[in-house]
Amino acid sequence: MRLAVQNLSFNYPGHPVLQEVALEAEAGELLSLVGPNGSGKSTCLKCLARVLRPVGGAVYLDGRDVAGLSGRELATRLGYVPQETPQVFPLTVYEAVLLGRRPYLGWSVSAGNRQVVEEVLRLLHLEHLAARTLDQLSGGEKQRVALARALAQEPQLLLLDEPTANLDIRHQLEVLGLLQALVRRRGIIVFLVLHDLNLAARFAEKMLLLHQGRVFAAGSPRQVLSPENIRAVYGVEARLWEDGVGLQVVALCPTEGWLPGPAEAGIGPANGSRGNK
Amino acid sequence: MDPETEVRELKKRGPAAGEEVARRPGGQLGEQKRSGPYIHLVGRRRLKLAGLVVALVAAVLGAVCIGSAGIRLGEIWDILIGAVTATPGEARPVAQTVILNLRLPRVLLAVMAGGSLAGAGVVMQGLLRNPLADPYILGISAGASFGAALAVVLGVGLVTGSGLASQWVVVANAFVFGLLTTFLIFGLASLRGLAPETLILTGVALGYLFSAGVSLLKYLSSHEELRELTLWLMGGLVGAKWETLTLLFPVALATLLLLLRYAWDLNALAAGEEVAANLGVNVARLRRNGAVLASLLASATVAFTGIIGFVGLVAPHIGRFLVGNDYRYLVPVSCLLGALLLLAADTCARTLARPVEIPVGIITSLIGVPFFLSLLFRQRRRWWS
Ligand SMILES: Nc1ncnc2c1ncn2[C@@H]1O[C@H](COP(=O)(O)OP(=O)(O)OP(=O)(O)O)[C@@H](O)[C@H]1O
Ligand SMILES: [Mg+2]
Repeated sequence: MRLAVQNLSFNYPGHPVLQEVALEAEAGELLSLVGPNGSGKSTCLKCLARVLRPVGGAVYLDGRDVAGLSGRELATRLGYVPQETPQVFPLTVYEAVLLGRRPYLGWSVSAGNRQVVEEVLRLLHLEHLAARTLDQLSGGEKQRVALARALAQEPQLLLLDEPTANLDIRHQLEVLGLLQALVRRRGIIVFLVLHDLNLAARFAEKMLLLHQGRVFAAGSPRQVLSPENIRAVYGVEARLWEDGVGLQVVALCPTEGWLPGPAEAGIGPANGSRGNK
Repeated sequence: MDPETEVRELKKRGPAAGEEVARRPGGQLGEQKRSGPYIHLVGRRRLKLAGLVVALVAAVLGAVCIGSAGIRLGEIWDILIGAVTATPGEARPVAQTVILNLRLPRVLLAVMAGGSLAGAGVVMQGLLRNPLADPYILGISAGASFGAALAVVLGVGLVTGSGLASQWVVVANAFVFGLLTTFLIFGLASLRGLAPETLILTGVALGYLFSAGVSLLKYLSSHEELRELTLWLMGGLVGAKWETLTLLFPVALATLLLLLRYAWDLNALAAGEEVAANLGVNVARLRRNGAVLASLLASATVAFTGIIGFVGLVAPHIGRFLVGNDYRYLVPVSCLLGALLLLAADTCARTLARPVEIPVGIITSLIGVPFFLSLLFRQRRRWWS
């Protein structure tokens, strides 16, 4: 699988959101998309997933324009998990994950399809919740169900919009570890939006920094995450250093605005946001 | 210990969560499990479905036996068996007429109408992702009423002059206007991209317009016409005939089967439009085709029975309590429940105050509403949110 995005542009009525976004990814790569609120990350993912039709540019999977794929072709190649998943008539967890098998199903559900579902449930520690309905789950559990559904599709490209936003620290690590393993062993591409720059730097070898709908910087986390870039895009002073875990980013304070003095350090607003969430 | 060695040490202890899955090729997994949580769930649903079929058959037989003509059970059996095997029994001709030409068609029409309204309702709810949707939300009832009123009061219809008897003109007009309303709504709403809210609001708005039209026609009508129109609007199964059934049955069966083909798509849509699209569902086409089929089903029914409210809204919700939100089971279960509900209501309507008939719409509300409310408040789980 090869993903190529060329000159992607998108407007909501009245204002441009994405401008000339380009990126490329090979099988076995985990990419992260970072950027401030409203910079167009979700919009970018939606254009890639064909949820939104771009105004200009195109998305190619293995050289084929996704706009020309049939519904089933799309569903078996590309799994997309939106930032929020509204539920009106909640299914049980099992059924919600089973939806990921829909492109492979006729009317009834064969044993092979059930096994994929049960395997995914086990991997995401959702087995004990299988019979619950989604309205009875916590936010993080719901998020894991949404991810499980996309994994059950067995796609070659996974597009995840803030998949760890509601997860506790252990599940954040486990989910990202799982994705990393999938990328390495099965050679799929994972493209995810993250707000946590530390996690993004640690798990993704490639990073895109989005600023007002444009790719501000792209490359390895070390290239992208510099104090200058963070200041220009987020308007935040940050300190960066490298240790055995990865590149560490500590947001110190907004570039403009209140700066905590030495006595207030530790309770100031900027220091409270370690991890930049 | 510095963090570098610390992480390395920790990593040695065991594989990360993901290591396992990645080692296996997708989908081809070791031992086959016979039973599992899903098999269990599906088994229980099938059992409930079968239970409802049995209950419906029993209810049909029971309803045929209940009535004001005072016919003995033995005789009824003779007649029914005679009719099935086409051998005339010793039953009285009067009794035969009552059972075969009055009660049986009426009971079967109740089953068909209830099932159709509920089937249309459950599909509408799924398509519009709205628990308040029912066959009427897209203006079908208002449109059909207006069509019927035009035929009754002004004697005009889109199909007049083709030699139809006047009573068929009302039926045909109601059907055509019910269906036309749906097309009109989709035409208007497509200007704004077919969002469910747009569809619902357009339906409600057109509903008001058609209601005003009906009021105007009522105001203009003569005493005689007003009575006929009011009766039609109240809804009822009094006019059930075998002809009605032979017209309605193929339409209902065909549309329901076509709608069932969308069961998986409706399941996917429950997870949101974006997810459904990612799962390969063409959401706009699903909405359009589904709504047209459901309107066809509801319009055909309403044309013969007049306005029977509530069944199309309530039966699907009872169905959700019973079997959850998988439309492969929910659609048939809702149809069966709708059939049972309307049959029970109609049987009450014709027997409670005999020899006077109570309009069935009144009964569906009188027994349906308390029953539904009790379910609603007793149930801990919420099947919609
Ligand atoms: N449906 C919409 N109509 C109009 N404008 C929209 C719509 N959805 C998003 N926008 C605008 O498009 C821009 C990009 O939104 P997007 O959701 O892609 O941001 P994001 O980077 O995902 O932000 P966040 O970090 O908050 O999730 C924002 O300015 C937002 O206000
Ligand atoms: Mg977003």
